[in-house]
Amino acid sequence: MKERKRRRTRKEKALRRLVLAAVLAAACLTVGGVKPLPTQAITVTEELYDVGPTQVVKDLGPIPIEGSGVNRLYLSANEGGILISLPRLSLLRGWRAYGGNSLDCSQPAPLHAATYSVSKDGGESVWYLYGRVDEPEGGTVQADLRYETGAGWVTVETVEIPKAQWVEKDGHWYFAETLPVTENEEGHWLSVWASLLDEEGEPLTAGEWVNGGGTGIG
Amino acid sequence: MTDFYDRVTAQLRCATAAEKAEIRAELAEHVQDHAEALEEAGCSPEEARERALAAMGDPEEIGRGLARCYTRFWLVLSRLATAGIVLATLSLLLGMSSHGLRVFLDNSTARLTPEYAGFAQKIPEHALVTPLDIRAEAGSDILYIYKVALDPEEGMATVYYCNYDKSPFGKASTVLHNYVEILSGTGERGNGGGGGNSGAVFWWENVPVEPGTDHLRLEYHRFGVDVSLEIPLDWGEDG
Repeated sequence: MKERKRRRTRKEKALRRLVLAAVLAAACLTVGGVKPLPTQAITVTEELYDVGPTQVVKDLGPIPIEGSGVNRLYLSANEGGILISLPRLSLLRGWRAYGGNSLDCSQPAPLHAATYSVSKDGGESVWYLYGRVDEPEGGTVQADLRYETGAGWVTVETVEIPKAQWVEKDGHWYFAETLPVTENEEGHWLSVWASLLDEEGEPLTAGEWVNGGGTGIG
Repeated sequence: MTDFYDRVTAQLRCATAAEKAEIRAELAEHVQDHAEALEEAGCSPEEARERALAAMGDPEEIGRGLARCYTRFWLVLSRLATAGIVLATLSLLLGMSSHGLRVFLDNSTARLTPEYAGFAQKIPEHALVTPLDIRAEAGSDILYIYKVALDPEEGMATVYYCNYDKSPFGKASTVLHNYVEILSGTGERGNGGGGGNSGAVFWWENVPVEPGTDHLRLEYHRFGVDVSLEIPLDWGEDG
């Protein structure tokens, strides 16, 4: 009788493929840079903005723009600064550092604030105001959304972020909220002016024009 | 004979077409082997094939026995594992090219041979070029000034620097250079340019200099990190 090679059973084939898949998955996680957790993408964003290691202060949830994919926005911070990170889930790469911005808080100030915007294909957008309050008397962060005319600034809307909405971490108070409007009736972008009020509503700082950054989602 | 195999494979409800073909081939090999042995023992070819087939037994029973080895569970698991292999291979190829290996190569280039990175502007022929090795920690990155080119005729110095992550597999900050200031005695800012990849960013900046200025300063102050570096200028023997 002829010697014939034994054929592998279905179970043997399945187990061999399973082992190979497990080895490849391990390689993806180690040398391939695949990140199964969104917080791992924050570490990459820290590197990109050179902010140093941060701790998550607030999970702002998914970007409220339809069709923006699976994503989450996080506010994280350390003593010297604040990082806003936008990890986005990709089928092949896991959670990727898709966007973000940083705010330097190393210089003493009662209020540190910045804006961050996310827009889809240059169209629908969402704006966030985020920052840190270092003044113990602070009770409310007030943001005036303005546009400039030849005669001066016109305030379209005023947003108040009371202390109840702040998050305390390591002796600092952090805030991050969405802004209700981003442009005036003529479609011009609004500028954000932020100030800090005490618990009686009296201003502790003058309103300052807030800078920011943004990420476009394709 | 064909009917025998059909009756066996008809019992394999969860087997794929390829598996059924394999089983048919394997059964046919057994029958063939047995028939050849019977022919050697003196049977006619026709009789040998019939007896070999009869010796195999009831085809339905054989089929039911084989069906127990071809359950849906292992088929589903095998297909899921195959999909996993394809995805993981694609991910690994993509990741190695854009993440791990790429970052490592960029990082190594910046650490060891930044002048070959290809992001620098052309240096005028008459410029005095001084290789430098000035490195400083700037957060999670290293800021590395690796060359200065001095053009005495134009009164211009060009400083070449790069930044890379302290970890060979870490990504370089893409915004660090926005906060780097190179200052000369004149207080004027020049123009600059550069580029980079995931693992390193290379930058150059032109700074106007007065004749005889012996150094420039690089300043970086951000997130509580303060870097202040002196960049020596070599005006040559005539300077």
